[in-house]
Amino acid sequence: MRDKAWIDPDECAECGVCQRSGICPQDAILPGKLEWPRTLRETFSNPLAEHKATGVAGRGTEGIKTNDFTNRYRRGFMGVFIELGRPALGTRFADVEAVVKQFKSRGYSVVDDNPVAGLIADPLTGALKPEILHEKAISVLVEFILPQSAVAELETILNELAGDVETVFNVSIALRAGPDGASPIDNIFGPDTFRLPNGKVNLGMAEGIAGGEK
Amino acid sequence: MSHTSQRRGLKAEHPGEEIIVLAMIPREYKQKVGIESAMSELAEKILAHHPHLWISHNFVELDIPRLGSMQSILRLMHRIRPEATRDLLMLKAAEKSSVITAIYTNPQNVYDLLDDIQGDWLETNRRKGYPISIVLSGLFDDVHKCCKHTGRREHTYLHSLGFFGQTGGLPGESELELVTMCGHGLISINRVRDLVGKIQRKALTPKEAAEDIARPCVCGIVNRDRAEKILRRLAKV
Repeated sequence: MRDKAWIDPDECAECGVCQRSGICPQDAILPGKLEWPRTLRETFSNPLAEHKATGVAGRGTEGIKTNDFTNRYRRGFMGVFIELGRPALGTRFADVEAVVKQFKSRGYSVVDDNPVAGLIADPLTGALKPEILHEKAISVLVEFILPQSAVAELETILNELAGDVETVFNVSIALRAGPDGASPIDNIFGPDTFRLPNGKVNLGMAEGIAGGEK
Repeated sequence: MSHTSQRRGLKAEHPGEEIIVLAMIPREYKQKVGIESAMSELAEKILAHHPHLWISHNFVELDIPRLGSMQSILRLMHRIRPEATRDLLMLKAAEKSSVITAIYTNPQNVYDLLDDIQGDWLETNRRKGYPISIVLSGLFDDVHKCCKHTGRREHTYLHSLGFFGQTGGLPGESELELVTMCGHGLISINRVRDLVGKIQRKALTPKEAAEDIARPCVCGIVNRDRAEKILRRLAKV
């Protein structure tokens, strides 16, 4: 119908953008009352919704952002972030399960404070709660910590996953800098592995700050 | 969180186009008495060094329970002085939140900001036990220059290895440059295409469309200048 829009509830990820944008001249876009498991869509897609598991709004953990204090990624290890659905396509949790299972079959578990960890029904296989598999989110970030010596195995996992999932995923690697401040990525992955010329760097300003009451 | 690490279109031959600054308190220190003042002071410094953008333009309209009664005051004030309201909101959000962000499009401003926070602010944090981390996003060459200029040594890196899976379903590279400007994926490809059409029909200028692109990003870290250039390229104007 002309000048009317309809939101497909199966495709809607409950990100809240349409409501916040004020795009509807009749102000007819209203938040629905969400019930489990649909609530997952909002907690993973709306950056203003905070995950109870992490205390961080959004999809992931504090990651490298506080590594100068937490020492989460130590030298010799690497944080591996598989973000399903971004850019542009979104993801069903069935694809998230495929990632968790693939890593689990090789002995690598999702880090405990990743929001996905709380959705795992079978810790032995990595199977997620069955009722959530069709739920959709703009993106879901799954985090693992692997020894740097597992880089060849990681490349195998990524290649297998690329053929298994029905959406797109991006991959990020967290690495503690060397003593000189340089990134060890070339030494680990080799100079020919694709990587963007941009990324994130923690400047170490919280390093060594401790004590006092928490 | 991968957030800003997936931005496309930044190139070594165009250095200094954008640097994003993020500050975060670790989870277990969120409630530490006094740390909110350190975050608020940091927000003042971020604003003083001329960020390109901070906090979404529509942030005032968001429902943020942590702001309490301050929300209605800010909404009223926003109608009269929108820019000043966003400054105030940044300061209030910094007091209530464990994370603040801003984007700079002039590296010198980031150098000045880092010089500024490495003084008394960082010393006070050390003395009082406030572990507030600072993270820069951008071209690694630009971040290295920031470190060199301010005498800092990089601590931890996040590298993107790019996209995998059903990449055949992705939009074109120029469109990706726009949709990846929001690390939470809130810039819709359909919205981008709608805006490009409006530019072509002269219903919007590229500058106006770039402002629109920035609206969904609640973190306020879209580079509107770069977005305008990309929109011109897509609309062929």
